[in-house]
Amino acid sequence: MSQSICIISTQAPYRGQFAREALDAALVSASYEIPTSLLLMGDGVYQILDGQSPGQLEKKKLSSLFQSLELYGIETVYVDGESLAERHLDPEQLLPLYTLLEGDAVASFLAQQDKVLSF
Amino acid sequence: MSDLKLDKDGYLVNLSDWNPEVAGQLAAEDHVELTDEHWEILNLLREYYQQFEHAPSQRPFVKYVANQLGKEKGNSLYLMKLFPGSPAKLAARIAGLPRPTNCF
Amino acid sequence: MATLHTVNKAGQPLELCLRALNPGDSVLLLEEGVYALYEASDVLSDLLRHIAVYVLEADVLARGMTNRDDLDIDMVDYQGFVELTVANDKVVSWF
Repeated sequence: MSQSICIISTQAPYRGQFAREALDAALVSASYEIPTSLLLMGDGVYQILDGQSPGQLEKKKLSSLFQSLELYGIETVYVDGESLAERHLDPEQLLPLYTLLEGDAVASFLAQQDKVLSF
Repeated sequence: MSDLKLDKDGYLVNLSDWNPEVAGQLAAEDHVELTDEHWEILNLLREYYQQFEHAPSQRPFVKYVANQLGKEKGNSLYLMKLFPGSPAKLAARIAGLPRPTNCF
Repeated sequence: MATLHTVNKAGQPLELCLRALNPGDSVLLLEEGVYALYEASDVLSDLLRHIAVYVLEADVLARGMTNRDDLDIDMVDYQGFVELTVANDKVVSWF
């Protein structure tokens, strides 16, 4: 059993390359059949706001990458519930591909991981 | 034969340069003769790119083909027969897509 | 599985770090995280009740800051940073 990796993504989309690089890291890691999870916290939760159209910024849509995660074997994206609540985000505004971690669940989830990378 | 602009890895620089004839030309360079079976996969791969905006590495490529065409075709062996070596990379090249970024 | 959390700024990095802490973990303030010594001293004094907190000497000195005498925060040099890294199972950086 190979070691698990959790990728924490804490920056808003289109802020430099952070969000994109986090997703790329997750895809690479999953391509090697490493048990991989992605956790969005802080402004990182804005990454799964539905309806992003970054065409005028000449950037690719993050949602396309999020939607491909499942094909890479990453079945869900973990989201810090407190970060959502702080930003007054409604679940209906988000891409329906996440699992909420509430309260202490974030800390215990991270404790289970062998490696954690942050972006 | 047209002169194609290719990047250092042999992938099309301008995705819009691609057409079936170009695909044939790229395939020939890799000693692949395109059949209907190849085209079925190449078309799927282009659909994948449309939907997900990147060329897949091997794992999602196989899974996507399996989801769309079933397990008889969505397996490494079948894809390896059509696109020898590294199917995800070779098929992406022939389909006129960029090099799979998550594939080394 | 003890974790060393490095925090490079008060604000979001520190807040998210607080949510991710487990008993036995340690926190190291570095880069602009050293400003938390004053900016977030309430948070730190709360935190110190159950978590060890360190601050990186080079970043404190570089910014003309001083460690707080009233808080039990150890100042570590780069050698100490390495030792903390080795003493923990993994490192998570918050930035």
